[in-house]
Amino acid sequence: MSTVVEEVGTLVAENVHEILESAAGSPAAPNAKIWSVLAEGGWGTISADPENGMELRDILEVARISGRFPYSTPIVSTLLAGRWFELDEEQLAAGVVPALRRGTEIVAPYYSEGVMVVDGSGAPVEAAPLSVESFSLLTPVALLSGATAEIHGSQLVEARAAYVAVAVGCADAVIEQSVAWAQTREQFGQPIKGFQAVRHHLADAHIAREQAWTAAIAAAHEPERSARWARQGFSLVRTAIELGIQVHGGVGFTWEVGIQHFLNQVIELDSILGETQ
Amino acid sequence: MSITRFDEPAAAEFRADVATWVRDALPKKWQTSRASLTPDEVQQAQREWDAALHTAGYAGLSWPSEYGGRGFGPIEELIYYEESSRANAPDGFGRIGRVLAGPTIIAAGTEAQKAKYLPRILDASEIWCQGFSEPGAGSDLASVTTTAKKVDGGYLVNGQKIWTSFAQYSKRCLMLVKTSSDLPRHHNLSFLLLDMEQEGVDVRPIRQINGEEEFSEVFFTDVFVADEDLVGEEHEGWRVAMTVLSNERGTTEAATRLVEATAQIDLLNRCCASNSRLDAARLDDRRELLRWHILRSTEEKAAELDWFQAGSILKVQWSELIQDSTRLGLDSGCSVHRDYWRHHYLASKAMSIYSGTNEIQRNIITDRVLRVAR
Ligand SMILES: Cc1cc2nc3c(=O)[nH]c(=O)nc-3n(C[C@H](O)[C@H](O)[C@H](O)COP(=O)(O)OP(=O)(O)OC[C@H]3O[C@@H](n4cnc5c(N)ncnc54)[C@H](O)[C@@H]3O)c2cc1C
Repeated sequence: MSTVVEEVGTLVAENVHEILESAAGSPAAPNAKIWSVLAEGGWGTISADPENGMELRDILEVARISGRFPYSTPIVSTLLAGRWFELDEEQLAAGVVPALRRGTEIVAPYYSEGVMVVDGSGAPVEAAPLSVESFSLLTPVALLSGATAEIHGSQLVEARAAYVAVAVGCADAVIEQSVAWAQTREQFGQPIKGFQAVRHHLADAHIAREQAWTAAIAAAHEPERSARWARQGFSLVRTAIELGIQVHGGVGFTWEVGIQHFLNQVIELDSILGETQ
Repeated sequence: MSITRFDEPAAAEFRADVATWVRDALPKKWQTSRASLTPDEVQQAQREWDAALHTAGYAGLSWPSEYGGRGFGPIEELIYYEESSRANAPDGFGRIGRVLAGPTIIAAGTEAQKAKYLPRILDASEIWCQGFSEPGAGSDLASVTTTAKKVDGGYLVNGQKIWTSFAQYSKRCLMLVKTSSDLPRHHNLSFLLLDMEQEGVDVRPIRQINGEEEFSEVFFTDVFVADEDLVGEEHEGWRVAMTVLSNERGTTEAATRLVEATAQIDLLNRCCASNSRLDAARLDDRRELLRWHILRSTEEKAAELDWFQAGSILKVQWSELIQDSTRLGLDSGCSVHRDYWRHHYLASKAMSIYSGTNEIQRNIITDRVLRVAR
């Protein structure tokens, strides 16, 4: 596997991006409608067919894009499931989300009609959907937490890489938002983008984001070190997002501006994946 | 055809060849007692290493074969540096020639310049230095005031350069000089190749904070440079200089620094940082991250993707990693390696300053990568 993405990865990522962008409302709302558009376009099943030549590196590309829309669709878990398990087209088109075992109860972190829930071996399970509020605390990556024992090592490695890539997408969104903010917010009679302290925060956020992307790619290549890569990747993404908040000033600390959607997703991914060894 | 991906079988073969060669060619003294060598012994080892590299054909890996190189790409360069880093090989003395002067002459020089200079860069028989910075022109490099006045058959150079590394050992100098006082900024400079062994060149080494005298101030009084030694168009030297700087901040430079970081972090993990294992492990993670960042940037470069942005990130990454490593080494208080760490800690202070300070790198990222207009 190369660190450079293949054409198929770029193509799928671009299309998924377009669909997510045109359909997304609030970045935090799971959206069955967007998923149906993606599924109808065949983007959910694409990793299952070897003919398409989609490799893990290509999935990382899609994962990064989807990170810009946290929680919105189960695209990443579905692409991974298509790669790991023998699931038919219909099952994949329904969308695959991981099952989380909470005590004796099995719950699905993704709340939507018709979505299939699988356990770590890919077997469908009867699951009670979670409410939207609790949803934000349990991302699709719960796949790994509840069913760790049933997931074999290479799947865990791949999931780590993919979800670090999702986190990088979160950083992408926050950096974009922060650059836009720096260009319009004025203080001392001028846009704050002219202040070098602000500019260097943005540069540092960019450096951390690029490093995190390297960590995601490295995690996909080095199974034995993937837990370490994941920890490092999430931490770097957090650095980028923290700098984004700082650049925003007081507004960055408000729920309304929404940086917490991204930060929370990263914290959750980190804490869930951090438990896996 | 050069390798474009690290997962090609050819890459594995090349790696195996390099690893075998490095293991056999490495000076024994370097392998066994590296940390206790004197600066003179280090320099001796570096020169021997230059010669060995040339003999074995590793000196110009990514140079085109018509100029004595191997015609390979960035991947082979990197594999070489990775393997030499694994083996803790020294960093050659002819590096400015190989990494800066050679590629610049290949990219922008005339055939006559290539024939005259390239062979002696490859075998390191001529050491090069880079005469860019001046007392009044550091970060603001375009403000250089050393002048080259047009005379019959060439130019007369007058002025002063400073912080010129290896000037006292150098036969030749890559010079950025002012050739017009009327033309606008960035179009008033020229790029010259200057012979340092002539009348009017006065090299005065400057003692550095680590006690070494690696850089100098250099005074030029009516020093002649022939027309044939102008690189690129007259007054368009800034463009040529940018080529040099992009090489300086590129993946191969980062890879040579990985050699250094590897040696230091290994020493921390093996010995000195026994009381701060977590800190040492974090540095090790960052070292691995740098390695992968270099790999990724190199593959992007080989695939001719937009890798421009990689240079500044790499420079900030390697310089701050080495600074943090040597700082931990110093803080660890390991009595056996105290002098080693003091030396490298002091030396590392230069890394966030040279080849464009880290503040300037951050400016480049906001200006040209994130494109936030001022
Ligand atoms: C060990 C060593 C070897 C060197 N070797 C060579 C060599 O071989 N050839 C050569 O030509 N040069 C060499 N240099 C010089 C080096 O390139 C310069 O020192 C460097 O570009 C900085 O210039 P300056 O020293 O004039 O610092 P200044 O430019 O005066 O900078 C002083 C401080 O101000 C900051 N600053 C300046 N402008 C800005 C800005 N726009 N935004 C934010 N901060 C800013 C800098 O980051 C720095 O912190 C070497 C330097 C060192 C330390």
